[in-house]
Amino acid sequence: MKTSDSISPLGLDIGTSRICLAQRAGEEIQYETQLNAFVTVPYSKMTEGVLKKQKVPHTVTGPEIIVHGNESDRFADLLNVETRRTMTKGVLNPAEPGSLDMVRKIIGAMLEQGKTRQKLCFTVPAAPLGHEDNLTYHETTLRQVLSDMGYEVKSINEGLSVVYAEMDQSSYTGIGISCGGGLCNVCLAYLSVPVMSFSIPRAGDYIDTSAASVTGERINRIRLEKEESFHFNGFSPGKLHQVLSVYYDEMIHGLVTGMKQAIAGTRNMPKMGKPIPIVLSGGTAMPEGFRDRFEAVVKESDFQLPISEIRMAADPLHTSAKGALVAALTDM
Amino acid sequence: MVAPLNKLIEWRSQRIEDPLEKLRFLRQAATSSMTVEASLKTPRRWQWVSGGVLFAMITICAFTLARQPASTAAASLPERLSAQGGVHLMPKVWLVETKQDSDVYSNGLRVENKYAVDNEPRKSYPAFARRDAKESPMEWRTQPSGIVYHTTESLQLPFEQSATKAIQRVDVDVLGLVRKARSYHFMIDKFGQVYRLVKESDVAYHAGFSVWGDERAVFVNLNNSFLSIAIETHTRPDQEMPTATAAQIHSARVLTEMLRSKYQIPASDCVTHAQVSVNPDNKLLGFHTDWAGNFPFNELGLGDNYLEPPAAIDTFGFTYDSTLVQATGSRYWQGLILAEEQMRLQAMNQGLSQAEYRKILQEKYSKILRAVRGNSAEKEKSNEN
Repeated sequence: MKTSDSISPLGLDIGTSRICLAQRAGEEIQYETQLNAFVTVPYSKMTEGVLKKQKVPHTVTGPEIIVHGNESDRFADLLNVETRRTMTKGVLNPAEPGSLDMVRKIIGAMLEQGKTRQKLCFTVPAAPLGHEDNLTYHETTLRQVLSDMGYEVKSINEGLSVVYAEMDQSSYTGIGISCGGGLCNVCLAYLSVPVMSFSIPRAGDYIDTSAASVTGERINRIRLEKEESFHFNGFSPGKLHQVLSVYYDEMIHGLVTGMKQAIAGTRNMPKMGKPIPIVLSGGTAMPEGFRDRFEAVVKESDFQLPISEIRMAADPLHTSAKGALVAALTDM
Repeated sequence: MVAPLNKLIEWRSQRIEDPLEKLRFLRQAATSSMTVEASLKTPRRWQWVSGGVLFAMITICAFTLARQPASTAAASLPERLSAQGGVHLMPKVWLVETKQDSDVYSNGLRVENKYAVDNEPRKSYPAFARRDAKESPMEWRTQPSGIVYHTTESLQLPFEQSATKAIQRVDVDVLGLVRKARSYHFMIDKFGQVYRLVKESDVAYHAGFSVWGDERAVFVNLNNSFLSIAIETHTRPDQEMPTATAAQIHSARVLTEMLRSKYQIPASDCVTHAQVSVNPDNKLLGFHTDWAGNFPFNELGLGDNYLEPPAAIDTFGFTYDSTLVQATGSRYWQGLILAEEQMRLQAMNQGLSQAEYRKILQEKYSKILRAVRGNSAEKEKSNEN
């Protein structure tokens, strides 16, 4: 648990696969990340004792012990089961009855009780392209959880948080993209004001699930392979990498097509005046070669807006949390 | 965000190095624009906005609709909506007693008279119509129509107890200088003491080449038409916070209340030197830049008059350069760009290019200036203060 002595604002990126907390420590920003997942283990006194001794965050609920956060991955691998997710496709998982309680526990392990008027800004996804899905429940519920912890809560669109974290040089004008587990979130901002934002449900989980169904591997294993050794450079040494390339490519094409559609459908698009940057962030954008492939697809696509550069965020895993923190800090 | 503002907003934001400050500025700018857009839904509009005009035109008017002409009656009734939308009452202040060297007023104001001096008496002066600004005056007035706030730009010592004697010596020097030059009607020293210099009935040479307009009237060369208050401080580029001491701000407030009460001056006609000062040779606004961006309008019980479009731009075709923009904080530029946009739309409504329309306005100003200088006994002092 973080022990923050000051009442400096906090940024919280609540993603489908990870929750990341950002806070200031002097001139630096400190991050703490927890997997937004859990796994249930049959209860035994001995197991509980071991977990306590190892200081593994867990909860005992009747015949089960629930291990949540970062340790859930290790236990899932140990028990050869899949981790369970509190969220899916960017929002609270309706198929997981205990999702809200688990989110509360994971966040609770990261945050102490909010101090008086301590500001906290958390990320929320944009509606999927072409669907006006109601995200109100997700946002309101998380807002309530955080408010109950004593924070003065605000939310920020996840794509916009990328803009806030990375685009001060362009006066917060450009396209911020966060490729996470459940969603890819996109936001075009002009002088800090979001002009258009959307999400597509093809992201890390989609790639993992699709690849798992083709290869017969467990999803967790696919994810680990993807995160540890996948290179997006056109050269595919094995079947798994070849499969991952295919689904990555599909995701990138979906993203670029979505951006074109969203821009075409945006009323009152401001005249940008000059080319704008695109910044890529999120764990799913991290494989080597991702940026190059994305840039190639944008160039092939006859994109409507002139682009000055396409670059990776300085710290892709923490970009959204940093953007949320920036939003909280500028709200002071 | 209102499109015509964007370039200026972007330009200014790029001059802010700190990312958080930059974002704060941009979000503030966006909020201001949204407030303006929201205010479009209110039924009150400037009458001179014709139907079907562009959104941007309406936006400009949302900033300016708050203005009302000088009230001559009903002193205690709400005078006007401020530029920020609040209701401001016309203050009611009266003289309580006059002692040997000072006047005491009902709001606690005390004015020292030992430096008071005569100058040439105020004569009647012309007020021109804002909306069509014909070369002939709309009316002639004899009472002050507004207040211009100045800084003395004098030596500033550390405001510390140990420096009290030195500060007092500087005060006396500055008072002597500005008294001799007949520069202002009032000066407020570092400790908040209010000194009467040029008598209110006389002209002070504080804003020789200058233009200001409220919703109804435009005034040219404000020495005759506006009173002047100098605060002993200075202006530096990009200052956001007032450089005045708390005592000075308090005194400026009670002095402003007294003058507004006495002459029924609308809040929108209480403005800073940077907002009114013009150079007739190059037709640039902001020849002087004191209080260009950090005047504490709200603390003085006035609306944020930095939002008011300067009449020099939209009525007389003046423009401004980087000198003024560098001196402004994050507030004054909004009024500047609104006036520019207003001028642009007026040109469009008349089927003229901006350059053509600007030239017409500038010629009108030149004629009015000649008439004003000819009609007035005032000796223009183009480089006052």
